[in-house]
Amino acid sequence: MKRLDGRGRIKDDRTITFTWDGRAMSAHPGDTVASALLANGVRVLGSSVLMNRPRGVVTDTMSDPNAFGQIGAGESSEPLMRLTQVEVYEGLTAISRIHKGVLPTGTDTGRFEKRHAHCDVLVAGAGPAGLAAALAAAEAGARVLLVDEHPHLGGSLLGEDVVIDDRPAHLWVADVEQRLRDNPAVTILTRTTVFNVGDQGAIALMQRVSEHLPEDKRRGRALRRMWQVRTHELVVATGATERPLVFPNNDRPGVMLAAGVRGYLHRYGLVPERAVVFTTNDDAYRTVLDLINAGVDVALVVDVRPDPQGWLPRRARELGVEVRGGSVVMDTTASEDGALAGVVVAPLGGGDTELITCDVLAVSGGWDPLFDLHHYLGGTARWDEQLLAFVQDNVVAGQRVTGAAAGIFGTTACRRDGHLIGLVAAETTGFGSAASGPAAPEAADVTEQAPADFVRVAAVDGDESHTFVDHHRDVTMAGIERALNSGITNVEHLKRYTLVGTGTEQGRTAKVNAGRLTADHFDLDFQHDWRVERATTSPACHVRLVGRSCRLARASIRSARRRSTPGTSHTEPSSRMSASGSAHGFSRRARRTWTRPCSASVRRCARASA
Amino acid sequence: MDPNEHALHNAPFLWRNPEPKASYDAVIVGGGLHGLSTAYYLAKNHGLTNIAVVERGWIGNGNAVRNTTIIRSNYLWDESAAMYEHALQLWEGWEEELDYDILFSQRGVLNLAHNLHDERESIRRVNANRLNGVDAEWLDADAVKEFCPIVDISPEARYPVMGATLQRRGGIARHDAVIFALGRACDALGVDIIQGCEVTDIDVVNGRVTGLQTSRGPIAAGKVGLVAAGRTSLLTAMAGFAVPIQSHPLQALVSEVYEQVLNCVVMSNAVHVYVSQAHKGELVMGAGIDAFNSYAQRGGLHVIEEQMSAGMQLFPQFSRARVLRTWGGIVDVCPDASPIVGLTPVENLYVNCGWGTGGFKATPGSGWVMAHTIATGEPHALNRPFSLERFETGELIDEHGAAAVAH
Amino acid sequence: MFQIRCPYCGPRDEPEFKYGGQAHVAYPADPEQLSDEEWTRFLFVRDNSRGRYAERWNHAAGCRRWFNVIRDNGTHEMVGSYRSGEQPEDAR
Repeated sequence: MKRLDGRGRIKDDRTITFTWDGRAMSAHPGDTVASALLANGVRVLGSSVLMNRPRGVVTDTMSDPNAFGQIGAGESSEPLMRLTQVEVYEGLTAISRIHKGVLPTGTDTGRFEKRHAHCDVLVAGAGPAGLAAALAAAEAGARVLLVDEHPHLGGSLLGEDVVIDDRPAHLWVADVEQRLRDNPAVTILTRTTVFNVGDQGAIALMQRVSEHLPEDKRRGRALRRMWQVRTHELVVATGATERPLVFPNNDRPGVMLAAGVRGYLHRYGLVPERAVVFTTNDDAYRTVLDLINAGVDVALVVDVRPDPQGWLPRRARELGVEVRGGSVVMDTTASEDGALAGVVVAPLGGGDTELITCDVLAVSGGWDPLFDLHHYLGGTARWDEQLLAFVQDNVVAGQRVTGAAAGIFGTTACRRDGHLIGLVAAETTGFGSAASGPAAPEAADVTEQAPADFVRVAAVDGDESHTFVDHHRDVTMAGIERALNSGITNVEHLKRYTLVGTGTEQGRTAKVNAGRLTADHFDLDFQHDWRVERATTSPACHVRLVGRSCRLARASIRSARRRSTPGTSHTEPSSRMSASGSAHGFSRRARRTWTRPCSASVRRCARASA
Repeated sequence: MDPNEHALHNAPFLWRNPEPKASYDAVIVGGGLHGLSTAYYLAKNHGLTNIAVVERGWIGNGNAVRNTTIIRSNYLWDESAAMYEHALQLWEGWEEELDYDILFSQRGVLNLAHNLHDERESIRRVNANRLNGVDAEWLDADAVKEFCPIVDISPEARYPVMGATLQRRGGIARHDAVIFALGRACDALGVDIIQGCEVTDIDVVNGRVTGLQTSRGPIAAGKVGLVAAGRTSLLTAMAGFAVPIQSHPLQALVSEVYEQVLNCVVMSNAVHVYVSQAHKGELVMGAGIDAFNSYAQRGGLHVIEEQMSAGMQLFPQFSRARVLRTWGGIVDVCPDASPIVGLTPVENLYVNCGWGTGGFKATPGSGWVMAHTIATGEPHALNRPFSLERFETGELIDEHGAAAVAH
Repeated sequence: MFQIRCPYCGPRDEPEFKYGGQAHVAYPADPEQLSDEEWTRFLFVRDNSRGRYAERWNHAAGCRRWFNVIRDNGTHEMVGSYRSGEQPEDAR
């Protein structure tokens, strides 16, 4: 991909150098390793785990099944780091090891810490819903801890071209952030991932404190800090992730998720030379419009739906883009290095094929709400026939899901829902009253055409050994079919037979498709067999797959306990304990900070690391 | 490598999914590995073919998919050594017998000793094992280092390694493949595997079991074997008696996938760590038991923290390894940490439970003796000591020291 | 990690406590008179039901006192706790 001047959120034109497999590369402050590699023309990241297929970056989020590498050199190198997350710093070394890491020998010189904290409302995710929830809860008077895994607040808004209150969305984000930072009862932790949800509001977080800095700037600070938080209410605002489509040779470097393509444009100013878009839904047209707006040649939009007539497809046509309804991408071709060279397009159901050259194919098979955190304490999910996605099915005490994670799409709707959820969470913990809270933003009138219920393009010659369902584990349609013909009717057995969905990226781009393919398979053969429903379309089994597999405890195994900084972790309570917690064992200094927002030390700590 | 290599490890046909019949000669309640193994040997050794395994979820959906796959037989007491050694010998033939690639790997199991008491106890165990025909060796610290180079044996280590027992015939197997292998073998012998079938009541007439009420209708049964691990108490309550087991969470975790660094199984009773590296490359580690009773299949993060902390001390090289998944199983633990396999107060109703943290390794042996007990109505010589009556007679088999988990 | 309400000290994290098993198991009034079966039942058999469960905890790293907790062992919901000598109805 190429970098466009003046696009994206990278405003700093200083050049950073790093190495990839020993080759010198350049980047700008704000780049991730993934964006920097794309900007340097590195399309092939490495070979797949079993079949040695070339693989590249698929998207700009943690869902990417291929973007992994060994970061650092020697004794402190770390395997399987997410290249879509690792921020480039001067002198960084990265090695192409995309599916199997190496554990370094020798003494680890990195430092790791632990802290404890208490709050009333913990908001996981700082997109439109999470920001609205955090603001509503904080202004009602609750102590709020807002956590996001990115360096900046905004979530999906960072990767979109969205207007809020007649202004670019980032100005709204900046406003909200300022109001939150001005509120002494609010703590914001960026570069922080919620990795465990326990009973009675025990939440574990992992914060990247200094590992994104050049080694000479870390100055003895911990690389990472584990937080153990006790909260009254957890608000899950973790967004959604796009699903790919399943078709022959769908794994070539250059086949990306549509929102990922959009994200690389808006975050990093990176665009393809010539793109084709393959979609089942209207959302991918946002990528089309944004690419056109950036001056990129969009050769064709391939839409599975016979007659795409929503406002987004209409707008794309008005801008001169050819939209071909009732069509599919049935294969791809590769250039010499194995990366994408073109796509073969044909009418759905067969007919004349056409080869179209492109360097990026942006694919969208719909969106999956990400509510992994809901599953830890027995949360269940159900398949929603309208959304064509899993959504939460039950309510877990002390937890609320909001925004795209709750299957609510659209910025305005997410802000509105987040606001209400924030008020309710605060009220539950004794602050304010949801009924009398400030008015929520009005919901916008969004009309989009329904997505197509479509997963897979079958190979014309029946050879499905290069049709990938799970890139990370190299699971193909051939493997899935073998499993489903063996007597397996349950996705849990499917997963163990093929390893689908068990990868390091938690199978986020693979699991739902695998479940739907299972359902399709049996709907053909045993339409009325109740066991099939149990195995595939009902939540009980499927969610177990999602739930267990998504316990994304990405904690470093390294125990920080014995290496924590003397005088921080244990002697200084980082915030007030819930009402009845008495002051046994705390130092006088600690007791002084034991007053209601009292997260002063927490905030100091968070700022120091920001 | 071959495309779909993993799928190709697995057989193209596994099992039918039959409707339950109105009546069977024997029904096994619980489609975990012990239940499947019991059905397999009922058919294979005793010629019973009109039998079924009923499972509330999907087969293997219990501790079969929630264990750390360690296989060994170095138990202290004669009764346990005999039972587990029988199981290990069956494991040694299973890959061929079941004709399935279960990746059984006899890579050796080390049990570390960290202090003088551990050392004395370990040497006593080695001697006891040898007297019972179980292979066992005592290694000093240097020999431990030679056998497993990544263990930290430096004297200043937090948990200094004084030595270890080694059972070379011990090792691991791929648990998922064992489910597929046993399911297929049972099916091929005519056993009906009925998944999604929850037992809601047990019919007992004049002190004798006559059948089961299930979520898929009533099933008459000449004999019933309860092989339901942590849920056994809920079933025996339906039949009107209690077993002295308590159900606890036991947590384990698996890391991301790494190049091979660990060539054997290492256990440490003192620090509650047991770890191996699976064939794909992920580190599989078990944690200590959560003290409380639970059916929730989860435990506290602090238990995992403690265990990782100890693991890190033993294996400095794991410092940057990351946890991919954690999970909790429900372990059914008896007061003496030994299982109950045998008769019950109800005629023709048999029970097999209480394997605690050590069930996976016992799979073939447990099935073998349970099948014998069901088929003949009398316990096999190997499981006679593991009767329910032992708690009344006082002939307990105290194996609290057998595992790297405090019971 | 549970948060357990010690009736004497307030809510604290689980690692401060030791688990003591089923609550309200009375020592037999006249042990000599028990049959072997009754003695076995007292010694070894504890309720292992699923659902709300009355159990003993000791605040080992706090006030060191024993007390009782009602907890749902299927969901880990803490229903309430009460002092030794009190009855489950007193749980709060």
